[in-house]
Amino acid sequence: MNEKLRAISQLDRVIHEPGRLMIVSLLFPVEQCDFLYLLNATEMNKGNLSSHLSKLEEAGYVQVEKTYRGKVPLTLLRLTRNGRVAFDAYRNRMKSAF
Amino acid sequence: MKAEIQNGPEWHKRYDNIDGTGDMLMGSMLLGFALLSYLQNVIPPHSIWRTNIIASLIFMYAILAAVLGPAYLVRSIIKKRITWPRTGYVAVHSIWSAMLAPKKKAADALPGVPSKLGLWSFAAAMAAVGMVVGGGFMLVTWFVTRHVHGTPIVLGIYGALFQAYWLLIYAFWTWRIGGRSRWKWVLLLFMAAGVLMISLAGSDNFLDLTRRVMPFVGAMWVISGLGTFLGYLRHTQPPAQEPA
Repeated sequence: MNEKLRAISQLDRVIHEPGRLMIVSLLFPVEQCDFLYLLNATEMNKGNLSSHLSKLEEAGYVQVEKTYRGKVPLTLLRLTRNGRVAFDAYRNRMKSAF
Repeated sequence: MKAEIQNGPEWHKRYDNIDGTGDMLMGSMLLGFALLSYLQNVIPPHSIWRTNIIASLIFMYAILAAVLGPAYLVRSIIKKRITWPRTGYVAVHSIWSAMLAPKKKAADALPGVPSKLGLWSFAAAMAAVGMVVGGGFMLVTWFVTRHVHGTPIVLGIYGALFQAYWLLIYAFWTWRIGGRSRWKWVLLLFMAAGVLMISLAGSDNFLDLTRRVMPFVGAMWVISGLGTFLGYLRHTQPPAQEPA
């Protein structure tokens, strides 16, 4: 019991922050999505979302691709292999703890 | 939330139907099957479209493609022109790429990405459920045909109970991915009343009854999609235009 509870102390802090947890949870089941989707789904402001995405990108969890749809700029985001593995490990730790 | 931690997040399934296109597609599919069933019933018994298996399959696919093709096109246009610019673009993992992907070691499988084994297991489970449900329906049809005799009203009520599976499917859909709008439960009640009325209108043949209920349920499903679409348009803003 204590061991399972102690697993909480080993949670990935990059993912554990509520804003980033929201982002990673949204990205996990999909192949990719754009910035606008995350903006609407998380209801964060653009600055906050960009800041969280930068931290996730630095950690190597999110891949950011800047492109265009027609003439409109489009930012596509997807979880990297490391991001998927880290979120899965985070989820398993939470499951075993609770 | 607990289910999402246990089984994996499913927001994207609800988002896929945020504009009602999922409802519209389901309704179109039912209308396509209803049209197919109607045409199969009215074509002459000795027609090649009935007697030849290949021709009957071509006939089936042609009818379904004629209905589902435009429905997919409308869905695609709504997604590209309205939904993605308003609330964002989401791409789900392609089932086909997972199916066609070379065999991977278990260690190479990515969490959250469908694997070939997972898809085959899902397909096998769906086939097993389909066989159990189909077998159950056949058993109920056989039982009612052989053993239930009564007034048209009694037969109608039995028929309505038999057709209740449409309502269960719609209720399950609405609960899981339909957007959980309250008015959809009112629509479900209306659908139930409609199914009961059609059943009471009289038919001692359950297949014939299904043929009449299916277009009604399909139309209701399309209406449900249109309602969701109108609600989506009302509650979302079109993207701001860049000044010229």
